[in-house]
Formats: sequence, structure tokens, C-alpha cells
Amino acid sequence: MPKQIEQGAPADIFISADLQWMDYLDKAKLIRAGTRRNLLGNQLVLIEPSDADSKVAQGFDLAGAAGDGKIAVCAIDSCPGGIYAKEALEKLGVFETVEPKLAQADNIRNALTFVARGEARFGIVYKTDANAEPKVKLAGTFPASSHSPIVYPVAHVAASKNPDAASFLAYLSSQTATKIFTGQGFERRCHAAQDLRFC
Amino acid sequence: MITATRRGLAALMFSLVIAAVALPRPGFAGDAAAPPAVPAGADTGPVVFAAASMKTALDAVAAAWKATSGKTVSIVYASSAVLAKANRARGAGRYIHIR
Repeated sequence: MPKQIEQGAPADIFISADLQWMDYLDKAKLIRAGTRRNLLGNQLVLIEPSDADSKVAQGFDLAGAAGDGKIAVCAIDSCPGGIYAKEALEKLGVFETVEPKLAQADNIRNALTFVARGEARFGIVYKTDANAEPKVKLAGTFPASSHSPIVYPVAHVAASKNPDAASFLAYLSSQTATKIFTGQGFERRCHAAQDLRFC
Repeated sequence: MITATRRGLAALMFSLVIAAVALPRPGFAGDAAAPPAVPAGADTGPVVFAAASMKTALDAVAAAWKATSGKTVSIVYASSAVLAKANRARGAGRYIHIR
């Protein structure tokens, strides 16, 4: 099999879409002590193609509204967006009826694309994804109480050797960066790793 | 005039099958285990592994940083699960990047 195998340089900075995968590296001692902090937050939303017009209210029959169509999500057993989606659907008591209609993508942007292309009737993605794609629109927002807090932690990777990594890490919390992030729909999180509040 | 031999056709079919297997297949959850590719020129600046949902915003932040610092950030976007596993494998010296 024709392959080119190379040793890749390790990442200098890691930004996860949930705490679990940062914890995974933290436990393996692969992030630099004292550099981990919570950077951003997000909201979980239901989207549909921009030409659709669902009336989503409490008690909305998602499986019924999807009909023969699919509901695009990120992989529910590994991808943070998919994990949050499953939590929310379970908390709302509809996971069993919805699960057969789930189309699982390998990352949340691909789930977004399924809906944008009309390949899925609905999608469960982040609010920031919905804001970034003009071919989809917001059908509803999952209550924050229906899933774990959506937190994007950031850390300096232990094996990093790049002299500019610390500078960029600091820049991620700058006024300029914050304005860009919040302009896209992200929310600021308090920095302390144990503090999950919005700041 | 090129004459297609049976051996030549077999070699061509073999190559096409290998290419079909080796090329990335976007969108399938089963591909989540494949390590992400670090972009060419990654040694010019820090390399960031970031959740796919950050792409639009983080690209803009990286551009703003470059405008002030003159430095280029290379960003790899993928599912956090893929990135964390790739980071762990690299950290343990076992990472293999297949192109």
C-alpha cells in the first residue's frame, strides 16, 4: 500500500470542545502544569435548512417532524457535540425515538454540512455553527439544563517547543480575540479550570 | 499506439483500489480514529489543535495575531476526540502520520 510515513511535530496548543478530552490529556500529564484554563462557552441548537419552517415549542415531536429524513449530529459516543446532543435528547425524554434517525458525522462541521446540503432534515450543532452557515437556520435552542455545560478549555501542550506558543495562548484571551469569539456567538468562560461560570 | 496489456490493466486496477482506500473519506464517524494532518510549514509558528466548531472564529483570531506579531499559526481542526488521541500518541512518541 503506497503510504508516506513521517513523524509529525506535536501540537503546541490544544483547544477542546469539552472538558473530557482535556482531562484525558491532563491525566496523561501531556499538558503543561498551570496553563489549562476555560476559554469559551457555547449553546446547543437544533437547525434546519434555511428554506424550512418548523414551529418548535415545548413538547415538539422531533422524530415525527423529521419524518423519513435524518437528524445530523456529531458522533454521539466520542465527539463533544454529539455527547451533548445525546445528553439533551435523553434529558428531554426523546432519545429512544430520535436515535434511529440520527446521522452521525465525524465532526460537528460535517454534521452542519449535511443540513446545509439538504441531506438531513435537522441537525444538532452549536449556535456558533448555525451562525456561520447561511444555508441553515435556527429551529430551537436546547435548554442549558438539558446537557453538561459546554466549555472549551485550552492548554499549552507539554511537549511543545515552539517559542511563540505561550504568546499565542495569551492572545486567545486578549480583548481582540474575545471580540472575535463573542462576535461569532461564543460566550466567555471564567478562566479557572474548576470554574464553569460565564464571565 | 498504446497497447493495453493484461498485466498493465491489472496494475491500473490495483492502483485505483489502493487510491480509493488511501484517500480520505470525509464525513463518516468511523474515520474519527485517523490522525489529523499537520499542515505544511507548521514549523514556522505554533501548531494549534482545535475543535472543529472553532474554525471560523479561530481562523480570524489567528489572522489578527499574524497582523500584529508577523507570525503564522498553523491550525488543525478535527473532533476533540481525534485531536486528544493524536496528541497522546505523539506525546508517547508513538505517533505516525500517514499521508
